[in-house]
Amino acid sequence: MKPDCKAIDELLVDFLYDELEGGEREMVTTHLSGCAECAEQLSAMGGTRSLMSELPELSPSRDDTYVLAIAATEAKRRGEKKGVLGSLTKLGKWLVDRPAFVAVPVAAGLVLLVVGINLEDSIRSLFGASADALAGKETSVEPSVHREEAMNDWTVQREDAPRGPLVLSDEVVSEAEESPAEQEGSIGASDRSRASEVSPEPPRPDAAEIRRAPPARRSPPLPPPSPPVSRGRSATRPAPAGRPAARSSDSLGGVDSELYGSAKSASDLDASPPPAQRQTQARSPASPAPSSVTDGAVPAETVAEDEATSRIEAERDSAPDPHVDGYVSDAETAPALEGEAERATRSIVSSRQPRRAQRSEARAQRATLADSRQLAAEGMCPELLELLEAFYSSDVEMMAEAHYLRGRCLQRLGREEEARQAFGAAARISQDGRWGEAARSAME
Amino acid sequence: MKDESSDEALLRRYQTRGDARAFELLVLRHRRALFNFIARFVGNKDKAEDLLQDVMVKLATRAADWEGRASVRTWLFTIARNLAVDELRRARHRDAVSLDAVGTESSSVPMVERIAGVAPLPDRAAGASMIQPMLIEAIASLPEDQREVFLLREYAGVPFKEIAEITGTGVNTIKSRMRYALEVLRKALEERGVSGSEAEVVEDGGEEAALP
Repeated sequence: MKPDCKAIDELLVDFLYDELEGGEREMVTTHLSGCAECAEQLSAMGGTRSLMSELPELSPSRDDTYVLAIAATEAKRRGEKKGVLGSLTKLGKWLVDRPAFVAVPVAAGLVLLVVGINLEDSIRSLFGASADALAGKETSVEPSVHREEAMNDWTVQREDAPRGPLVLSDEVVSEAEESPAEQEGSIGASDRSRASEVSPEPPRPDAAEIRRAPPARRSPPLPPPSPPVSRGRSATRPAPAGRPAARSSDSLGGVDSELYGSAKSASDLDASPPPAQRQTQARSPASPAPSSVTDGAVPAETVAEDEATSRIEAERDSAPDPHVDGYVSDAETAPALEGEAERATRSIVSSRQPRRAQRSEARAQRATLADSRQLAAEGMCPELLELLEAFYSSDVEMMAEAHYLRGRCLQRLGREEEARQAFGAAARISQDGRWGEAARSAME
Repeated sequence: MKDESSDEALLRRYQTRGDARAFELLVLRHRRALFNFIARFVGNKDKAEDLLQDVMVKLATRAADWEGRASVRTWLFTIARNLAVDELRRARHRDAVSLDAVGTESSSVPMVERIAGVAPLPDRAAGASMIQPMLIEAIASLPEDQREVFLLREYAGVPFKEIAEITGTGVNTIKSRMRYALEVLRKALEERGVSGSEAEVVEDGGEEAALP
């Protein structure tokens, strides 16, 4: 054996199975061409391989029905909310992966608040006594603090700031709703949304009415003497201290709760109690903003806004936000999040469904239908009925197919009347489609 | 962007979305290779059917355990290998117990023959190679640690590095076991009068001939 044979010998098995990189393979090839011993070694191994390759391949004879049934059950459990809810879950996860989507509306809320604070001065000058009276009323509830201090200390003051005017909350909600770009979670979107918020153009008084914001939450221009308790839980619930992203977290502790909270902050943009409201509310005692600010908005003082915005952003960017970090890293493993995410997405989807969510929803619906077909083929009717129980699709043919599959299973289970109804539904919604046709022929 | 039909993408779909279709695709993709590995490793086709099912049930119910550190294939073969090793251990235990209880009857059937199982059906045996049972015997003659490496590399096409992960062994040890396995096989075949040149005349055999 030549001196370098040992090194080559160690590579022979790799060479035999073609697992060598270019350089090493070349080295071995070169060596083999000049070394009979090593070539013989390789040849012996190759001969054995060649013989062993004659071993016949086996096929499992048992079919996979049992395993697939387990998987279907498991899948149902796992993706319980396939169909509409499944895509909601996914959107929730999507949100979870994009804290910017949560953070941007929060920041937007803060910006608006600052706008409002500054507007307050303008209103005061415009409306004089009534505005002062209003402000006076408010300061009698909570002592007024200089707004700059408020900005700096708001996290602390929020602790003992359970109530206050919530006038900006609807704006926050509608801003969040109105910025689909934010849903892409991009920085650019953030900038855009901020730009739109600092626009000096006053909001149209009726704009908010057009939006979906419930009138009950909208505070009247001149609130009654009572504090806005009617605003729901948020008005009476003590708000925990924390950074903006974590504010919306309620009484939960630990990272999960922070995730929970963050998810909530997205969800609650629409549903009550909105965290944005809570933020506003938390800050409001420190800022004597009268409740009529929003509707009578006048051009904002952009300097103050910019200051506030940059302060907020600096805070957000400079400090490592454990909530956001934990949010991302634990997102997939926090089961508690799912429910929240669902709620979050349900509310958001209901108001303004991003195209992506619609697409993924359609995918989930198709997957559900595919599973249903499988279950139907296997005669697993109870499972199918369960799977399709909450199925909904805006796609006519998908919906018709779901009805049709239900009908087939109900028929098989001897529930003729229900089957007839299901086929009828399929035939109705898909008058010219194949599932409608299938349903009609099934009825006959 | 990752291939949406990759094993990993499919498992993620099943993991996160409960996509049963993705699961089915994974099963279809891997069941044959897993089955062959298990069947050749434990030497019992019926048992292999059970174990394959166990692997798939684990895939269905424990998908959340897969963290993406290893490939799905590595993960599946790890499960299969561990189940097969357990089965062999149980089989050894059963053999030992039955040896005590009913004398030497059980142990009189060597592993090789149990693995080889029944002889090929006559009609197949006529056309098929007579060396196939010998190949099976040769594989059965390998020590377990070499057998698993050989089966994984030769038939399942798993690279040495992955085999090292599957078995929890260093890659150099794996390669060394492979060398030994090839050597043991060569000798085992030689003892049975089969040499490399005979492989040339061997025809394709029926796949069912190999195991009971």
